[in-house]
Amino acid sequence: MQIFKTYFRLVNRKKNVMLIYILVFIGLATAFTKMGKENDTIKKYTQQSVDIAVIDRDQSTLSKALKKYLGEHNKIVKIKDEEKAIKDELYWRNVEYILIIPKNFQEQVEQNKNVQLISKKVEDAANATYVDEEVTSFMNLLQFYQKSDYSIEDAISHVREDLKQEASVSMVLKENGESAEKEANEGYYYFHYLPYVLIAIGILAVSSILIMFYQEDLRKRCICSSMELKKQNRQLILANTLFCMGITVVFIIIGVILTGGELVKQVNLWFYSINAIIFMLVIISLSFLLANLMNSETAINGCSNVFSLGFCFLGGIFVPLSIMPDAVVKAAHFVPSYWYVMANENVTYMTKVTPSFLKEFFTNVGVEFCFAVALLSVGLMVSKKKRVYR
Amino acid sequence: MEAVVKIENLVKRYGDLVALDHFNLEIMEGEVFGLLGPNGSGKSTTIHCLLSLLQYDKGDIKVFGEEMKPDSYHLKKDIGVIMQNVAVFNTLTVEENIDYFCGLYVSDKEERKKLVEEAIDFVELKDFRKFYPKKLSGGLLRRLNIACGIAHKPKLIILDEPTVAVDPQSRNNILEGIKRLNQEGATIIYTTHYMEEVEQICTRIAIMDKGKCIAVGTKEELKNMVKTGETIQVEIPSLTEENLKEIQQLPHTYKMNYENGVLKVQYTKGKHNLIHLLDYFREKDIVFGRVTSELPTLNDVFLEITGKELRDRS
Repeated sequence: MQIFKTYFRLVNRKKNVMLIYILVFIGLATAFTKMGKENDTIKKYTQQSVDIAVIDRDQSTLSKALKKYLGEHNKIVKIKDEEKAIKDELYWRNVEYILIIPKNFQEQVEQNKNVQLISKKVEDAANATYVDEEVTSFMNLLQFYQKSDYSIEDAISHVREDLKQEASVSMVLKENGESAEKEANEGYYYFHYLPYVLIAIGILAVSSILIMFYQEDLRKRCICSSMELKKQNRQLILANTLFCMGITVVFIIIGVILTGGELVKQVNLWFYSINAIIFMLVIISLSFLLANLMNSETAINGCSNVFSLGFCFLGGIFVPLSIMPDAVVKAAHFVPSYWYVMANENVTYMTKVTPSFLKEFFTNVGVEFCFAVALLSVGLMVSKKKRVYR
Repeated sequence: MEAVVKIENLVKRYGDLVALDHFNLEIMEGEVFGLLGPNGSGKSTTIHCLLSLLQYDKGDIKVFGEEMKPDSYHLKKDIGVIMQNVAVFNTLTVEENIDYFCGLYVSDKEERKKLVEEAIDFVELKDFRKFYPKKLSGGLLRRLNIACGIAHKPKLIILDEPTVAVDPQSRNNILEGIKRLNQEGATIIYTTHYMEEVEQICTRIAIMDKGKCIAVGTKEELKNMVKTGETIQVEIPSLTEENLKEIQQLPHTYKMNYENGVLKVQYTKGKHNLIHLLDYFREKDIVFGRVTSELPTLNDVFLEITGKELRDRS
């Protein structure tokens, strides 16, 4: 086990650099986790306040109630009731929406007549749609009460009461044909961003050690030795695997600590860990291949950036797959991080371990494993080819 | 004696360039065999083919009587390689480096420990065993490179220009070491473009040019192949055209040149050349200064065969 032992001797000599890598990436993992939580769009629906104007030509109880309701969510700007002034206010964007309440508005409502409220908006202003929605909601409810023989005052009072109600919204996801309501658990963000850290540290750490073994003159000396190339590669791969698994375990433990230990109580942790470990196998194979192909540590550093960022952007780690064009999502299937993300999402929204969950999860993890085997095979082929120069 | 290395009709092309052109070589057990040639003559290519590091187009290579292939690990066990460039780990100490490379051949820990100690003693790096390669001078680094290649006690040691960019003291140390390895029973293949080194340590020499072996033999045999004998140089302030014509007529004179007050006369093989020349100076009452006489070198052999200098003067 000469090569195996020397590998760890070299790791030991580079321990300071390795420690810096690990500390930097712990920092990054923490930052990503925090950012992920803050940027969660699911929890970020907030009501918009729009600059509007209401021209009340009726001055009735109903028109005043409508104006008051709109004023609760929007900023009401006073403008003149003149055609030119209305156009100017919209043109200069002093208001985005103007509601004109016509004369005899309340009277017509009371007579169940179809009342036409006039609205003028800034062209293509998305916010104006919200105000339209508010007006429509108010009027629909009012007409509902009014048709049920409520007086206009009572109807207004009920409408105000109803519109104060706020529904609590949570995302409903379909799992195995049943509807399941669940929020992303604590570990989701950490394990979602973990591949970036694993790719970067994996390639940097592993390749920087491997590149020492693969310096051209050193490689020639090793090829000339009586130790079989297979045995040499076996020892290197074994050492790599052990070292990288160590790093993965460290990062899993850090993940547990960062989530306040909550994950330990959940079965999800085991599946997150399996996913991370299998993904690390892909990185080990990739590092082995790169070290065989590259000639310098500088080139390896470049590759580390290309692969870590490339895999993360394309695989749906930095940019959600849901907002990517179909063609990009199709291309993402050829990136191992895509399957990692898929498996990670399986685990996140898993309520209990069912056979269908296991099937889906292990399919995704299986594809990752196939990537690892394929990359390793190419790496071994390159290594064999490099045994004899042409 | 048994042939340790036998190369027959070896051809290696790099595109249109023929690096080895039907190259033949036989190296016997116990020899210190020198491969001498200018840069680009095919020495390193021969070594790389011999070690199965390089794929060749045609020919047969046998080591210890068996065909040499990339996976001939049983043959590689008895071969030690010292390449032109120092190939060691910069993050391992002298001792760890030697142990690592010895470990690629010897798995028994106790045996390896003993071999590593012997190698350190052999290259006289005892005081530097805990040093990292970056802290070693060029000469010491070369010695470490050699120790890494010979620690497993190989029967055949291949040294590819091991003294490039080494100071004279370390060079002597390395050459003495090679002689000792040979005395201990190892067959040595030594490639270089320094003819002095070859003359100093090699028992047999092959001169290479343009991928071909142009001459093989002991240094005496090689020198006897050419008609050039000794070369006499005399410092003379002035010589007339007539003097020069008369010197040219002296016995065994082959070539003559007079430049910057130095007369250089090359002779074919023959006796008493210096006496004839000095007699002529006395007769003509010519005043002269320092006189030197040189026997033919391998460079003269190379020059006569190929029409060019052996040493790369660019």
